[in-house]
Amino acid sequence: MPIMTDNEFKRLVWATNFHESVNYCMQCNRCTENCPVHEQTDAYNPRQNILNAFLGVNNITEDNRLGIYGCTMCDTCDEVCPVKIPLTHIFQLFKNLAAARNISPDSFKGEGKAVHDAGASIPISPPIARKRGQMGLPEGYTLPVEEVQAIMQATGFETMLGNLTIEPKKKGAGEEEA
Amino acid sequence: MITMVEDKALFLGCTIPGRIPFIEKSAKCVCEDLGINTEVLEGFACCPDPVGIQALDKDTWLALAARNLCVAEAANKGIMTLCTGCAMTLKSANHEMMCSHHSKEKVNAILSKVGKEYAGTLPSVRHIAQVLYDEVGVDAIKEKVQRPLSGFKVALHHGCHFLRPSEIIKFDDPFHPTKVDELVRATGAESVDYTEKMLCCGHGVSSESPDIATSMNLKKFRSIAKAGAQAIVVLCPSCYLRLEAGQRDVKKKFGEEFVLPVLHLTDLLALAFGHSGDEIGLKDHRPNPAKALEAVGISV
Repeated sequence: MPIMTDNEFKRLVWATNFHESVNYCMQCNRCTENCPVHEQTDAYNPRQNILNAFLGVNNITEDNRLGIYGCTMCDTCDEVCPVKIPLTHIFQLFKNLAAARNISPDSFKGEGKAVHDAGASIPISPPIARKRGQMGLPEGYTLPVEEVQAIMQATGFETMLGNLTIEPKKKGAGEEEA
Repeated sequence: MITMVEDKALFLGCTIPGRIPFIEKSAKCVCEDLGINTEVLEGFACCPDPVGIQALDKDTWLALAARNLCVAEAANKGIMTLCTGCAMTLKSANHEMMCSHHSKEKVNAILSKVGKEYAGTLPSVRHIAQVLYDEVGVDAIKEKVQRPLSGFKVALHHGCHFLRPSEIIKFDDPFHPTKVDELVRATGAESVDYTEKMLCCGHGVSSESPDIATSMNLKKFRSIAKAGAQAIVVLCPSCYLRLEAGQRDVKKKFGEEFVLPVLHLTDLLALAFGHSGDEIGLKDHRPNPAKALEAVGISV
């Protein structure tokens, strides 16, 4: 199978690739062997992701969602890498590129929207506010929403948010009402 | 003996005040008992979340985090968080602003839109467990114990971002930590050793694949049960929610039932310091840890 190189992708990887450590990846597989997600599924493989980053193989597609968002951000791979590749930083770039193309978990998009609208990823709901009052805690806190929004405008986040679509919420295994 | 701890800017984050406020309560009780003055600064917003928001756009994540650093810097108070994610985000942002001139210029240009600038004079950014260990000290905590939790066996789950990336967190060994175990033992409880102690709670991957997170949880719970622990102690609200929900998910998917109440470290300390279960909202934990404590003869 021919390998297609994406030069723009390669340039972005290089910009994130501090100390050019990706050049020294010897494909020893220590990252993958220690990855708690890879242990559960072959669809997520940090070593393969670093190889793609090195070669400039842009694998950021809807079909490869688990290959990107399988990363649970535990930072184990960074710690065990013998040549100190900042793997999680590079995977963050993958996630950012995917997010810009609307390929990201809905909960992340919802969280982005909540922080934009309320300044908090989980705004205090009326029942929780009541509970807080009963416990002797302040019912809520004033959040600097305008400042958060001004920063989001300056970084282009607000524009990106406007382009993201969120599916109507299904109750998944990971979600429970508090 | 109480060591003088500098006043802290208490950074609550979003998950604790908005979902599980009883942890805010226990943390405030513990700080009061130990004489740590805390203030929730007006102007703090979402840290933001290192998993979700950073995955959407790293530059925005960094700028919003630096904005929070500016708020504490203006008050000249070190930040203390109750959440591992908040600690990791704010420590990372502080690290990047201090170590990268390029990032500092870029972020400060964005912050100028809201009239802020981060100079880099913030005294410290620490998780409460780090403050308790480094600033208060294990001995001072032992002295405050009025209700020793003897016989209570707990499985400590540090959570990934409490330890890693170690070059930024700079607190304990990234794979063989011991310091928080000492804090747990100070209450009289036993911190059991278990094989999967370092296994991630799965929160990060649960958004994309709840099934993978559930399988990871099963592995962790089996290991905890095998070690004979009666409860789980966490340092992070995301780990808290995942490990509570994980027990229901594991039962549904694999038919294996675990009854492992989850406590934040500050819940454990508040109980040991003599606070009642009602005061710190133990009944809102699922399952309620009071039963597990009663089983070893401790009434809360």
